[in-house]
Amino acid sequence: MSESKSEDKVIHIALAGNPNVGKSVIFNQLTGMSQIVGNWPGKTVKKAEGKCKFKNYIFKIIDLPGIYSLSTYSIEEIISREYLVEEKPDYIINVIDCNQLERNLFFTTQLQMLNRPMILALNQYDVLLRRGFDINEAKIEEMLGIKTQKVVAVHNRGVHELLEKIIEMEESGKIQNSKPIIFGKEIENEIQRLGSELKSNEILQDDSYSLQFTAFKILEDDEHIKKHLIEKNDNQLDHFLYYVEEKRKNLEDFHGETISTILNSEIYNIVNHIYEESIIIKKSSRSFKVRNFFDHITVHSIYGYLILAVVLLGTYLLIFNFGNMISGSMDKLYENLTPNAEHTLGGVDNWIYILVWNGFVGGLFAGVGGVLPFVIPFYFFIEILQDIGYLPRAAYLMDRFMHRIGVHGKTIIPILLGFGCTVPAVSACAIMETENQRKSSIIISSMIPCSAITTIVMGLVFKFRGPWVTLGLYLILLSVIIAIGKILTIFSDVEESELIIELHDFRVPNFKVIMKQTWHRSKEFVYLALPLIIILGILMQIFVEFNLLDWINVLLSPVTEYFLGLPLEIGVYLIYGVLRKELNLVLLELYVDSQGILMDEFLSPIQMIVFTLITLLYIPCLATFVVIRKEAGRKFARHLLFFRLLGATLIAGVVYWIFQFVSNIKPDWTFGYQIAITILIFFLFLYIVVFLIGKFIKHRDKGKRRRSHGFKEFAEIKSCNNCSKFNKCDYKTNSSCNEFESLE
Amino acid sequence: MVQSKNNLEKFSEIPIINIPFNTNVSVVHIRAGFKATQRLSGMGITPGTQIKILSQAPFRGPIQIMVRGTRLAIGYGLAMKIFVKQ
Repeated sequence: MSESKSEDKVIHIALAGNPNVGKSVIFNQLTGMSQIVGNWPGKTVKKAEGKCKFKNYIFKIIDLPGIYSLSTYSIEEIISREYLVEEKPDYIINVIDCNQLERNLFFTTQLQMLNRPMILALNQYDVLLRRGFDINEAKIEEMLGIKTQKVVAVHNRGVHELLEKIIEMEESGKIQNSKPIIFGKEIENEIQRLGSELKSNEILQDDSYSLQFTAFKILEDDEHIKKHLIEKNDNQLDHFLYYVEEKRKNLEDFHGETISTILNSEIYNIVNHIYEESIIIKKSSRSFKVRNFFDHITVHSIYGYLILAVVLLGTYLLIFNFGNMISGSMDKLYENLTPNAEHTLGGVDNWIYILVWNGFVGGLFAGVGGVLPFVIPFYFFIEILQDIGYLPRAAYLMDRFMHRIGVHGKTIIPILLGFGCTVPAVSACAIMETENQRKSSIIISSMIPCSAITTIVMGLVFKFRGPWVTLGLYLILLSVIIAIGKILTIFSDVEESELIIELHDFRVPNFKVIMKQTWHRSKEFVYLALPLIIILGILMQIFVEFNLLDWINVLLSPVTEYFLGLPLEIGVYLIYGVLRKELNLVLLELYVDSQGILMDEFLSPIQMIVFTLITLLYIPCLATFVVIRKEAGRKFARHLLFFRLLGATLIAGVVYWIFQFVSNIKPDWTFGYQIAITILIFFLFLYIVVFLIGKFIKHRDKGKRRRSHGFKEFAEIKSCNNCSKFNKCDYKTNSSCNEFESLE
Repeated sequence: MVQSKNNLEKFSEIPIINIPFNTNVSVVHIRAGFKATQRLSGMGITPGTQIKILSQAPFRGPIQIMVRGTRLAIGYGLAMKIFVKQ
């Protein structure tokens, strides 16, 4: 390559590796602030892109999601695979954690099969040395046929050397593709044979997938590869697929295991060999007494839970107090500035004042004062907990209880965060593994009463009705959450919801990295949510100005007045809650005061409960909505919004009507007894609803499920028995046979 | 033929849940679905792998195991499907 051409040559790089190996740290060290973080189109998976200029080259770097293998278990794996194969980055940097060499190399070998230019970053090399080991780089380079580089990402050591190695390769013109791996004799023969078959029949028409990878994956019966090949060959693949299936069946019969187990064991054999050859034991490994103690105690059956409680309560209280302090002083600042603004902007009745001050500045303060002081520290604490490696342990401890509610153990993290603020809770749902889990934990965690809702409950129900009614209210909420969890489990795959999580070693947090991550997350939130909050603030002022509020009240009255039994005037205050939940109560209090009555007189006890209940459930605040939309897509957010509105109205309505019923039968009872009976009847009602939904869905799915799991497998092995077109039947390739369908 | 041999062997296979803590055992068979098996092998659990149970969370909670130098937590239901022998 000539010098003049390399002036600002662009090189595309993909960072790939297991979760928690420091990929993102390397990414941050390389790209600094110039990164764009978004989602993969239509997916709930984060996509981080960035670029950096280094020695006359522009490196465009993409940080692929952390995965354990290139199969199709999770959406991340599919995304990463498709990116590597279709977008063809110029180089792949495979980041691995030296301390877990064996498991990390499993992924490396899979990347190797793709036959792309690759470089291996051996991260956390310092920890390995401290543990008394060393690594024989030359041996790894020789065995894998790729360049390696020792890296200590958190201290920015060896990170830019990665780029130097790439430039070296680029300039020397010897771009080294990773060499294909050599399996054991038996598997190697099969793969060779499949490879030559693929080649001679020109089945693999483009060079997107490498020969070895395709052969390996087609032998493994990988759905994606199969689909890809069938599409490329216009469905003329029956013969080849049958051939592959025969090979696969032979192997399975011989080993008595499923094909993926056989192949993965084979890879692990190779990996194990590399591992044993390349790791050097320098001295008897020093035991990490303190670390072992922490490892032990944080998962202990008693102390573990104590530590969990202290960590969470501590975090919560700290953030709650800090947030309230900042938020309170912001509110004060706003109030203090109001007279001045009134003066400069031409009085209370001037529309400029109303739009600019009440609308724009008010919205700005609502966002900056009401949301940010809670969101930013929360992000900060999640980053710390994640960095030191505590979160998987919390999931381990709470898995059982979470399963009772019907969600995955890891959901405990967003749920607990949700008590503080729903915004970080929803973003924390990204830790879930599959798309479905992620969505169901978003649903659950967005229903957890955040600190704003706690303010409403305390300021209304607790203040006027005392602790027992408050408890009852929370019980209703809890039962609704459990019911939704149960309904979600009906739809989900049982095995998918089982916990498989890595409890990696505790690490000393690196504050520079944490600050950077917090900054990125907060920045995203500010860019997305703040403009919307301000716009909504202005819109609401316009509503007030044009006297549209009464119309809104009338419009909502069929629901609020007749179905929920609330006063007519309350409708519009429910809309204010969209901006910031506590506005519901704050503005209502102002209104009630202006009428010269007490809140107690304005709302009857049951109205108070219904109002709070609907505030709890009806809609996530605007900031939350924005985050949900970003994390899970517009469609999901819209659906969630719709069902939340509908569900909240129904639930509050049911509670109201049950109470009406109870108080009509037993008018002489005190309110406490009446509400207690109401809640009991409500539980029963909810139980029946969940039970019926479960029955209905199971009944509906029964035939479908049998066909999709057990029956299909059976049909595939024996080929199609339902039509006479043995092994030419469409069922084998397209999983649909016309005759087969008609028999059903 | 192969099938019957496997059946006989299965008598010595115990679900990993029933193994006392800190004993080295090797995985014989994983009787989970396709996806879960794939996932487990991605995390390093394949037949023949040496594993060790470290702890279990109370009330039939997940187990913590040591595999290939890493610690994993595996849900109770899935752990029931991993069969090992000493």
